[in-house]
Amino acid sequence: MWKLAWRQLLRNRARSIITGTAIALAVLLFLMSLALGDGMYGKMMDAAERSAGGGVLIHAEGWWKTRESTRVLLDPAPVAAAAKGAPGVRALSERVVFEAVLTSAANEGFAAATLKGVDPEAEKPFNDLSRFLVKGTYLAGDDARTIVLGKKLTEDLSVDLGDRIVVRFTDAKGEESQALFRLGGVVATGSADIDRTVALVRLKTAMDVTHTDGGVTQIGVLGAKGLALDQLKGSLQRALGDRTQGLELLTWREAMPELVGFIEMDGNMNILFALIIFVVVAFGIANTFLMSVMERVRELGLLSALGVTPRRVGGLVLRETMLLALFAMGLGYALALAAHGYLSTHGLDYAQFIGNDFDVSGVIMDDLVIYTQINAPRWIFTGIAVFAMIVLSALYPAWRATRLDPSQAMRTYE
Amino acid sequence: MTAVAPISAGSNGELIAARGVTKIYTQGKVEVPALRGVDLTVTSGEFVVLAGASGSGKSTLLNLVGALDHPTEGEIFVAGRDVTHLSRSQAAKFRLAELGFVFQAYNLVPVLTCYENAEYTLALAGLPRARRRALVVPLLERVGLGDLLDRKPHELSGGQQQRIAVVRAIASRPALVLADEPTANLDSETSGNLLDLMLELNEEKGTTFVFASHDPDLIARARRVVRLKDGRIDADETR
Repeated sequence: MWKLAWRQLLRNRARSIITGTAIALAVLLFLMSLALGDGMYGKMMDAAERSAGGGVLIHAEGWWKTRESTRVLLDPAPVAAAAKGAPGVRALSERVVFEAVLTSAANEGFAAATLKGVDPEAEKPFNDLSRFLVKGTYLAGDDARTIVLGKKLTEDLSVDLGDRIVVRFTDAKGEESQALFRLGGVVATGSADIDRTVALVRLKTAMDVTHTDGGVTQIGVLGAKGLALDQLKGSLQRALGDRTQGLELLTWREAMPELVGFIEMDGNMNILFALIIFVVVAFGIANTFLMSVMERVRELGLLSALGVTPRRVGGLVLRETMLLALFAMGLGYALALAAHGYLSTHGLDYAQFIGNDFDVSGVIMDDLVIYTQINAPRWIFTGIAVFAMIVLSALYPAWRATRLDPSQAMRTYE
Repeated sequence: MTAVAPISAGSNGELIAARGVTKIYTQGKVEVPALRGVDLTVTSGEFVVLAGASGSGKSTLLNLVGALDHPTEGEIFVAGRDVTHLSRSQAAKFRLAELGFVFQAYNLVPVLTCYENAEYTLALAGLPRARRRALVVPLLERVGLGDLLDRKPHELSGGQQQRIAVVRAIASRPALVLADEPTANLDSETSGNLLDLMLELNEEKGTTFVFASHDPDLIARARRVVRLKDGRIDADETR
């Protein structure tokens, strides 16, 4: 029966080649979609981790949810020192983060922003916004009261370099307070969210004006490449020991579950689109094999008349499908591996399609060269699922073949 | 392995016993009777032709005996076995194990070679390759196709194709071969040679042949002619 099935495929070469090519291309597209998706997913997760401020964020307990200005980590030095010494820690940065209202000293209007006191050097492994500087300097020079704003924020406030900015906020003592800064630099990240809300000052200056008395509101920690977030968090907890009293340690995934959900949804959408391609292909396959059965009514009737049971007649159609699927899928996998061989080293530059950078839910994606990644279990599962889908698509034609009445089929000879 | 031993006649020597067989086809709302209460008995070793004009019911009767179709009424026994109510699967197994079939045309599987077509039912029955070859090759040589084993059907003449079909029908040495207009598309010489072959098998092996045909040459050489007319047996002549 396998021999007969194979020869039937060879008999109508054009149809087999067209159907097989459709399967192979669909497999190629599906696998490349997964490989690029996995590559993109890795980059997005990496970018999200940096945008969030670290793999693990350390705050005074309750600060992340409430953003209360009084919840300050008052003595960060021992915590930072212990965290720095924890196994797997790659980088660490202390920050002062306050919600604020900015106004121009000279113009009308105001804007809400997040005032961040940062150490530019310490921030470099994290979300180093200095790379987006479009005007002025990035917290450099002698002026302690220099401030860097997002481009849209400067537009909202109608300010330019050198202009004075009044920042109002509730300080670490819970008192209404304000401080005067001079615009020293402008960044344009490409993310409207960030460019409209970011206001960066030096860490020491932020500590002074918000009256934290040397305290910080956040310590961001980056783990070594490949280290799982939970492992990093565990390592920090062990290193901090009793110092974790009154602190909260959150992985960025715990801190920003909606962002994780968004990125995962984006990945799932890729799979969904690929599945839709396959459903369309499956209908094409079903149609092809149904036509094949209808064209061979007499021949299948002859087999039945000679003593081939209906089950075996249907099995013949399924065998044809399985053989075609195996060869076509083999070709599809070979093409996908070849494409991966190229794209995993040269990458695919998405910037050609969507511009130089874009943001996803506030995560800046400025490195858009995506390298394919093979997730072996997913590729194997995909193969099994696609094979099953193709065989399922042939079930109806096979069933039709089992229902052929041999006497009716033989009558078509006349 | 499916049994391929030839069937034996019933205890009373009847190989085929049809009793009150009626077959009515329904075309839309119209009922078309093809057979009307046919009674027929064929004993082992006979060489019988079901003769009659087109539409007389001879092919229908052959199909019913071969369990390719079910009668509307009546019953048919082949070697004592009721074939009237077999399921499709049972009927297929019955045909494979017990019968040889030759049809008017398109008898062969196009993608198989001459040899593969001839051995097809033996392979289906699960006979080992060597045994199949030992049974089939001498038969193909006997019908003059020994040097065409690897040819595909489309590379053979109509007569050569029919000879392969006959070899396939008799390779498993069934006691009963059913042939529906086997000479209809053949010239008289090829037709005569084919008939010679089947008559030899009938005489040498005792194989029972039942034909449906209106070929005068075939009818002339048959030992028994059952004439059908309008779905009824009009005459039953033994020579």
